[in-house]
Amino acid sequence: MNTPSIDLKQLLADAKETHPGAARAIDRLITLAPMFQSAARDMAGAYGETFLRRADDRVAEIDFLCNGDPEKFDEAIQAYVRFCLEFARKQAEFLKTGKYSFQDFDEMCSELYDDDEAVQSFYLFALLFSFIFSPNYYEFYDFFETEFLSHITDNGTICEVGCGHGVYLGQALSTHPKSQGVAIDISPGALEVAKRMLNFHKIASDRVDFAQDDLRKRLNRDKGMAHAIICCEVLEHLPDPQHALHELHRILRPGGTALLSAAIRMESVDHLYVFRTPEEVIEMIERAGLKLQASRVVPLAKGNMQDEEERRKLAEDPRVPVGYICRASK
Amino acid sequence: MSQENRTKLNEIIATLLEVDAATIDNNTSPTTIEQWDSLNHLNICVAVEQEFGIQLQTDEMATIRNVGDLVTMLNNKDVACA
Repeated sequence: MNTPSIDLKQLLADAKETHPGAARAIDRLITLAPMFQSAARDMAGAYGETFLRRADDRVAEIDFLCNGDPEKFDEAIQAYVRFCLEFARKQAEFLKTGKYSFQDFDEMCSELYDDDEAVQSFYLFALLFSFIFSPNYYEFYDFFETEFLSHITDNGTICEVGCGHGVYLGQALSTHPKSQGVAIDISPGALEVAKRMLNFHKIASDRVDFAQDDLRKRLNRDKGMAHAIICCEVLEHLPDPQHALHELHRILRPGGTALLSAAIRMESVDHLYVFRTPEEVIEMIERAGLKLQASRVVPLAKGNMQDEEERRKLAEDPRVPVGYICRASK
Repeated sequence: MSQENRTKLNEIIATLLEVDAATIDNNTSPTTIEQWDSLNHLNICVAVEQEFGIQLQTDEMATIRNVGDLVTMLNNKDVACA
């Protein structure tokens, strides 16, 4: 990102009073992994006060999951650092081969999703810090807040499929207190973390149904059971995202709203399906019977992201990984 | 050999970060060179792997905070580096 130059020391000094959570995350990140100074500087420069506010929110959640233990907090930051380095290494390989390293979902399950320790101590913490320091995740959350939460009514069931840490569902049920929630994930370890996340958000346990289920198959849910669906950072992990979208369409009620995302040309520790362009994702969504209402592309590249034209051009560059998120309706 | 390897290491870092190799010492870090971001960190690690025929795990890469840490890591992997 090309952003205004930020003096990190000054930012930290100022934020210690006004945004202690953000200051803590930045301070621990650049102490443990100084090569992330530019990431912190870029995020603060690009997103300003909102970045600090959201970082406060995420740090409160992470600290709760760490039971307030500073050592665990540092381990969680180190998980994020390893995750980013692993991403960068795999992305370089992907640019050479055009293939993601995982070719088989079951292999991914045995290496990650079925390993509660790896899910809970590495994977989910890395993702939570990504919401603070990685522009694609940050913008996904921004889109969720500004383009999804305000567009759904508070009178039904919000179903998150592939809930992972549960950040989205926790916030959605806080904002919509009359709605019920369903949290679905293939990983039992993730469901445990999501339960704790919803505790943090003070969501009564009788409002949420947690279920282990598999989006590769038919979900154990009735047709039209959800008035809103969240399925973020899931499609690229599946061997057949088209089937998954048909299934999401089935459980969404007519007039309902879905929040969907996809990683495009973006390798990670557990990506399986290579989307080559945002248009490919849109075609799949429409083929499933959903109507696109709003969308955003987030290229992971240096550039002025406030300039829509530049953002669009970067997203078209086949060497640039892109995050795609949209709101669709049935 | 040890000095020769150090010269090679300094050249790798200088080339990737576009700085003068003569300015690099054990305290050189992302704090002293702004271009040393996470992507260049990986590039340095990968170039070191190729040059010295070693493998660095992601966990090891994550703990490198300055050039001195890289030198220690090389020595721990039996690559003599001054």
